[in-house]
Amino acid sequence: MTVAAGIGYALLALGPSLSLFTAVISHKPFLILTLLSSTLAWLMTLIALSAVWRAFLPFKTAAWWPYALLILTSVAFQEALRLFLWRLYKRMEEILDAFADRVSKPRLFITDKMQIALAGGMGHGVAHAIFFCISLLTPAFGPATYYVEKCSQIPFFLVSEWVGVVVGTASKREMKKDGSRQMSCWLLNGNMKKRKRKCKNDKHHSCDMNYYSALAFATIHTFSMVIAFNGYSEGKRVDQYFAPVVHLAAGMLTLMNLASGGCMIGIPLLYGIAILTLAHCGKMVWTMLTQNRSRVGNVLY
Amino acid sequence: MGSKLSLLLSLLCFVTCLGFSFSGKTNSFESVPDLEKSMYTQIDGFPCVRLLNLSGEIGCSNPGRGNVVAPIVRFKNANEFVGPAAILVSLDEFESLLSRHAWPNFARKVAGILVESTTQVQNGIKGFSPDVKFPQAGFAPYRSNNFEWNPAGSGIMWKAYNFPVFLLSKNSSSILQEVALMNEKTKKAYTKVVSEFDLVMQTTKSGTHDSDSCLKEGTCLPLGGYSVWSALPPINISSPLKAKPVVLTMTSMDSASFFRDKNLGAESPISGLIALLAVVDSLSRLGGLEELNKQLVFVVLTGEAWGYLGSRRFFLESDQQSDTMKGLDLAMIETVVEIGSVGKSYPQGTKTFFAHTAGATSSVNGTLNALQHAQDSLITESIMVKTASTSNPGVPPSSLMTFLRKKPQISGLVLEDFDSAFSNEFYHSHLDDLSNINSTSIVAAASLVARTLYILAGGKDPSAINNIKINSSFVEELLGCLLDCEPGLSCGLVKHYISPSTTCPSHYVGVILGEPSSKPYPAYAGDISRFVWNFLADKTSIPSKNLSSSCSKDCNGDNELCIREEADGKGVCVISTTRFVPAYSTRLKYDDESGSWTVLPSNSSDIMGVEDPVWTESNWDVINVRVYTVQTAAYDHVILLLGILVTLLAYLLIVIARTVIRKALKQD
Repeated sequence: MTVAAGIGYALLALGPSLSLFTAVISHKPFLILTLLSSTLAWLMTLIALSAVWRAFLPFKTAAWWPYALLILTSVAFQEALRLFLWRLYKRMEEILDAFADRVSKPRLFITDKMQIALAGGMGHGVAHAIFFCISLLTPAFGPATYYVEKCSQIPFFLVSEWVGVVVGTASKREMKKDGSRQMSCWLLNGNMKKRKRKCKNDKHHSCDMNYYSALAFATIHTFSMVIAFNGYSEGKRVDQYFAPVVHLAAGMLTLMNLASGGCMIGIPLLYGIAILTLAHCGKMVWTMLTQNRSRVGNVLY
Repeated sequence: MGSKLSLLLSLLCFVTCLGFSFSGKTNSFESVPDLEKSMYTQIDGFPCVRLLNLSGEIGCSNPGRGNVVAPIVRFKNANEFVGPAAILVSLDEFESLLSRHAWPNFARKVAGILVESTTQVQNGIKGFSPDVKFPQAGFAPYRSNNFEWNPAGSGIMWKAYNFPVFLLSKNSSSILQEVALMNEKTKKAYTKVVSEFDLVMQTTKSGTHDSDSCLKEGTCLPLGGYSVWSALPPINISSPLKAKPVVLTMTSMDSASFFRDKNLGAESPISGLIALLAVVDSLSRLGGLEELNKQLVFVVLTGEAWGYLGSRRFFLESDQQSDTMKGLDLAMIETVVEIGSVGKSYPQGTKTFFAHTAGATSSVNGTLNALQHAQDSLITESIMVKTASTSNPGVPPSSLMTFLRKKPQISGLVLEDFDSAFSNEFYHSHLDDLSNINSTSIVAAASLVARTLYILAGGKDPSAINNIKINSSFVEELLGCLLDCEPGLSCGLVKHYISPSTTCPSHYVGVILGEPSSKPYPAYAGDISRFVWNFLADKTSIPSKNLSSSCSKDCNGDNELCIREEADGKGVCVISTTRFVPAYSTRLKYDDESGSWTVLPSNSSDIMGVEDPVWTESNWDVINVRVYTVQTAAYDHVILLLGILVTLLAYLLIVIARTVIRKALKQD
């Protein structure tokens, strides 16, 4: 491939994020700060997870269950983190509202909250994309291309981008929910190691699984984080459980890449989950906005 | 909500159930550089390089400064393929491919050639010789009249090709066969497997297309090496006694091939070299050589395949009375015996050799009688010597030709295993390897020569003659060391004398590095030259009086040499007359100050110099070939377009969403 293809792939992965940045985040310095700090928090999560799993990786066995275990523990860790982040956000909201009251300025508006959530989610998404996708992209700028045996219908680099795209676009809208937070990117086998990615290919995993699943999850998490936040604030059980379940499902889906040709099923299914999360989130936002409208209307009355 | 949740849970179950069906082994990389490495497959190949002479060039090179990239196509499908391709060809089709130079669009079709490796047995190749039918005919002391010493010769190595040609190793051949099949079978029109050739030659880059200009520019180096001569027993230079007449035995140690590094030359000439070393080994164990009335001198020449560089320089050094020839007066040479190709004499059980003679009849007869005598003493070994057919125009291509042209009255003999045409059907090709020769033939030739030399030198005692025996295990060992990669030059015998720079032996003469001198820097003299020097010095030596362990300081006496210095660091000081003689064209002169070479105009006193093409090899940086998959340019552009589209689409959606949300809020 060439520089053209390399840039194409980079744009596929980061283009939507770039658009989002220019459209929403670049206008307000606070949002840029939120983005940077969420990136940092995400990296720290990564380090913590790899510290824990370092002793056990790489897996010498060909069986699938160690990977399932890995996924399970990561999901559990990140769900716990999600709760922690929610509480942190709540604290911050109280502080900001108190400060606003003191200087007689309006409180955090719903759109502000959504934008903070967006910035937070994007921080994760971008960090994840760069970490896992862009470094893999450097060979794409050379003359050769790469087809993984297990997924020989699509070039490796493209697969990596696709899921990122789909889930990325879906995440945008979801992030505008109330208090969407950083979404710890849940990473699959390999991201556990510090900087070295364990990319298994050719009979089991492929690098692209890591790649696209990372992107996919970044966004699925952003969504489900929003849904979870809404669930926590309004006490809806369905929304509260939505996030962990979707997270786990998507994680297990990546195990599909272990099978030959599995990526052809795995990726569409992952898209399916992303679209589902997007739809659910969209509906939630719309309901919230209409509720807000009617609430304000009631007050005015 | 509940239905959605149940849907999710069922999906989860489905996925985990699927997990049970997976198995297989893991193949992993640890990092991005590993990924990159696996995208490109390095191919083991032996290149054909660019060589130049005074009137032009031969060999292969990339047409420009850059690498050549072309898809891999098999020879039989090459006609249908549109555009330049890297043609994968088997050896029997190779010659016909190169001769299709006459194709009108040959130049546009062939971007590079990859030759599969085969063994002789596999393909039943009758003969393959890229040399001409009468090698080095211009140097012969007689008119050639198109006599065909090498009937299998095609002459392809003497032509110039403007594209890279590589000979593949066995592993690489199978990889590329698969790749070519894949290229044909795959339906994906947007990818193909290409090979990238890096065979950039400096002379092509700098536009110097003959020896003269490239030597001036410093973009090439002349071919040459170091010949070795040794006297048995050592010649006492300072002795007042008159020098004895000399019986000179010689052979050559270099070969040529289409492919630079796949150059074994087992039959021609290494079988002769091994025979000579075995002869020295056996004669050195014999006592009483000092009492004989002739002096035995052994010479191992190099550069003979490229214009008889070694033998011509030998004469020049002697005329110039340089240090390298001290003690040897070429005027004292009475007979010359050359050991040519002696590895294929085994048909019908009796090992038959042919003596190609030249010179004054009386001395020739003397030599032939000695040969006959030796043959008779070896009656149990069923060895036979015949004189060559009179229908031959003269001696076959050999170093003796130089001697005959320099000293026409000299009497000489070349011992070969063929009569009127080479028995070696793979002369000067990469297939002239260990499977092409037979060790019993070499042992037979060596026995014959050893006894003949003893008789020629004046030895008469029959028991002594019968005691001259060739050590056949030594011959076997040498075969493994000089003609095989295992053990190759890392064998015990070679490592006893030198520390070799490579394991796989190659008998290409190479280029002269640095200034030619009588005591070359070890890295500049080839492994084989150094081995022969150390070996001959060891075998022809008398232990020195001062038995000091380290000889770097104390070994400066008149005839004293430090041998085996590389092998153990200390060396042994011995008395021996063994010298290196630089072997390079007599038309070249090395300039000390500038470190460059100049071509001298042809001199009337140097008759052979007129014929000399003055071979040089182009400088090159790195040579390799690798294989990888590429996408078509259209595909790359599609990807770029897709990326841009996605970005713009995302931007649009975000703007729409933002407007919708703002409107929804404004409705309050």
